[in-house]
Amino acid sequence: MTFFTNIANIMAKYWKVFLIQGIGYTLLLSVIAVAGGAFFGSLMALAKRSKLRILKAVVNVLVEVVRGTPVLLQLYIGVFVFPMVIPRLSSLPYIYSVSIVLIINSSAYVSEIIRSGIEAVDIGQMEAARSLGLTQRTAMLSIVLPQAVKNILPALGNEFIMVVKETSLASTFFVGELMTAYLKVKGYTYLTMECLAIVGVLYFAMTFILSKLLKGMERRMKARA
Amino acid sequence: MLDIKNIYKNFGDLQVLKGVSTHVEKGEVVVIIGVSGSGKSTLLRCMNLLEEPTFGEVWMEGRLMTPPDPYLHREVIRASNTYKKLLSEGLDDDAAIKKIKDEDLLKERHPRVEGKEYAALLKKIYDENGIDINLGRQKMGMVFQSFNLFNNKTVRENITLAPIKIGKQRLKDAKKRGESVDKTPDDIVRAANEKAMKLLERIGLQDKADVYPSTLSGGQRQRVAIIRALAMEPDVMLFDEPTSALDPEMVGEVLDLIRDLVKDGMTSVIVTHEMGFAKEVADRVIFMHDGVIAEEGTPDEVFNHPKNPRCRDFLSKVLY
Amino acid sequence: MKKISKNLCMLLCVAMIFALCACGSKPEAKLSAAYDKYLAGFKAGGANGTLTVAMSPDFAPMEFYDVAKTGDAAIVGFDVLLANYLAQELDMQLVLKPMSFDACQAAVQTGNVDLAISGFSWTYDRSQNYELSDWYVAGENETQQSIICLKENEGKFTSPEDFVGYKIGYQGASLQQVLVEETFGDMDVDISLVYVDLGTAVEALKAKQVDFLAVAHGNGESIIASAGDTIAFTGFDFEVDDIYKNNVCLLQKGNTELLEKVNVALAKALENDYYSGWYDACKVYAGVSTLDELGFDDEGNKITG
Repeated sequence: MTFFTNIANIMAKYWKVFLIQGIGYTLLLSVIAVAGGAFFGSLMALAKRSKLRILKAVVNVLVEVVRGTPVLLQLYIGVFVFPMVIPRLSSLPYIYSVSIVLIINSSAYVSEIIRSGIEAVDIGQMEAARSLGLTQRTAMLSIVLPQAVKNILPALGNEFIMVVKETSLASTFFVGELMTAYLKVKGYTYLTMECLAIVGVLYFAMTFILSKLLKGMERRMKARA
Repeated sequence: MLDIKNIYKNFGDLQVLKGVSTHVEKGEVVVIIGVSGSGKSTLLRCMNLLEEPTFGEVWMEGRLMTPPDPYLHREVIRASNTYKKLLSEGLDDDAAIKKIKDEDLLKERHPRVEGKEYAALLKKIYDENGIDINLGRQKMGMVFQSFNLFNNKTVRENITLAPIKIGKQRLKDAKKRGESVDKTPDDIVRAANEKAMKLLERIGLQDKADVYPSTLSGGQRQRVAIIRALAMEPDVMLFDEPTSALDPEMVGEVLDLIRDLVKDGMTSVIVTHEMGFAKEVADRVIFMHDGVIAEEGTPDEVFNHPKNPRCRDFLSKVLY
Repeated sequence: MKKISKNLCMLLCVAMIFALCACGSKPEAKLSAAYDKYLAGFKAGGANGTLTVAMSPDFAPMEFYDVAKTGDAAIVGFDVLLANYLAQELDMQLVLKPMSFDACQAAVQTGNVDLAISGFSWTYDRSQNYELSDWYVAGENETQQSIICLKENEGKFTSPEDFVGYKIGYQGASLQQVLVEETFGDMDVDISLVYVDLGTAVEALKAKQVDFLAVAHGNGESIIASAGDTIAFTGFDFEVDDIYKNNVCLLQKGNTELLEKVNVALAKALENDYYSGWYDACKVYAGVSTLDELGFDDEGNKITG
């Protein structure tokens, strides 16, 4: 029973840290990561289809490395190694480096999402368009990409939900999101289980609401088609 | 009008077409038959370059659609370093050329290796005769076995997309070149829509102009696909097994439409299993087997007096 | 539509529960009175550039967060006072960089920060890889190393032999690990339980996964204060060599210029005994003690005499 009274006490004193700061920063970082990831991921997906072999190779290597190494490792590299290359970063708060790393990470996954979304479109669509004499560019823009978007958006929504959970790693650098809130409160109260319970419920609430929203969106998209 | 010269097509190690040559005259209806895997669809797709031939050339109305194939131009072979080397080894002109052709000795991937003159000659041939692939395709209409209507566009939009996009682009290019234009983009759109409605009326589907293809039956879709190709006013129509994916009751309406087109004089190349239809509309029948043309002739010759044993075998199985 | 309104109701219920809890907040400004006085006493802003200091604020009373404050001012604790003091002495502008304990060491190693002040003890390995400053006195936090237990075992275990057959846990890569291994290594005591951080260790103790925890005495006091009446000191203290008793600051290997300046400042603080006042103020702040227990008046001024 003390467990629940502790939780009540903690929430009474620290609700701002969890609900406003914690959730706020978590969502902020997630939106930045996926928005940036969508933009750069599209560029990377384009690069993967380009005829320039060097560009294609560089992008592929980057994607493989980013997908094949732990995000925590990438965060360490972003915070400690990037400022050596980009001096401006060393005078900025860590949240900038963290955001950059999260964007790069998301781009790699998004580029794969986009690539498979495009490949999922029946190749006959492109063949019919080219047979009419339309250019590759027009065929892509008018026929293939609009249909690919229907495949890509749900996967993108899933990526967002994954990123929400991934932001917890940024707590290593006390960036302020939900897991950082956990560390702050736990560091003072030494009530680890209670703090974990609170944070666990909040993460679950976020991902649950987001997946419900995502399902609703998917249903509406299917209906329109 | 359409000239196919010595087409080879390899998919990796698999040789699907092994030296096919034919041509199609204006107004001619050519039907291609054969077993699966004989290369008939591949041949058709090579005609509008949906498949790129590994060797050989495709000429459309006197213009070269593929890159020039050096093996088909003696003067180019003679300009190559390989040829010069063989001559210096003592072979004469004919023998050298024969040896080069038989053993595929030219380094086609790296034309520079064969010398500057060789590369220059190839370029000259293409510059003088080549046509942009998109332009070439605009003169050819393709109808697919699985229809391939644009799922994200209405029936009307399917038909008008290409004419509008290409028409507007032509306007833009003409303006860029400084020529005077008498049409506006809106004219293009209007003309395309009028044409589309007329074509839809021809097949009795004008009520379906603004629905999406997913609501149509197979036969309706294929007929829309055919008039979509017709909207570009092609000089030749290519049909890749147009009825093979249709339920039997819808085959007739599609064949009726094709028959109409043919009667109006549309040059056509049709790959099909509908032997009765073939007999009826074809001016010439080609039987393909194992990547080559095994039998060729009028419908009467091929269907009633086949000379090639494989062809006889095939027909006996198909015409029961 | 039904599904959406059902979810909305759930959401509203959860929000209401949290809102009700929020109605119970009380201001606790008094706790920070003494600390704030000390902090305000430091001269801020410097002509010699910035001094970046890394620390891991999850370790009351040495460094922790006061969530009632915002921004970098929310990071408080003994090491924060020390960092401000050093910045003043070096005439530099202080920039605090909070990050996890391991990251602090990586930050110093890569030169990302000038100093790491985060309750580091002197160890041989650290001295090989970093420049370690002279020691500073972190109150009895480090000088006294104890073992805590569940309340039922309070006061019953006072010599090493008493612990035979039991499990003792500790934080990994800590001074406590060294002490535990030195004291109990040859005995029939289970010392295999290592924890990533103190919080996890405390949970394990509560869950009886481990019988005892080796902690710095100051941390033990914070833990006991938060745990109400469930955790207590066993009464056993480790014998601690002088060399381990105190904390050091970490600098990048080779940064001897800054090291000398830091040591000068530390010597001055030691001579004038700033440390004990700071430490007491932080104990109050961390809720371990009260203002008048440690000789402060209500305004946070140290009562002398």
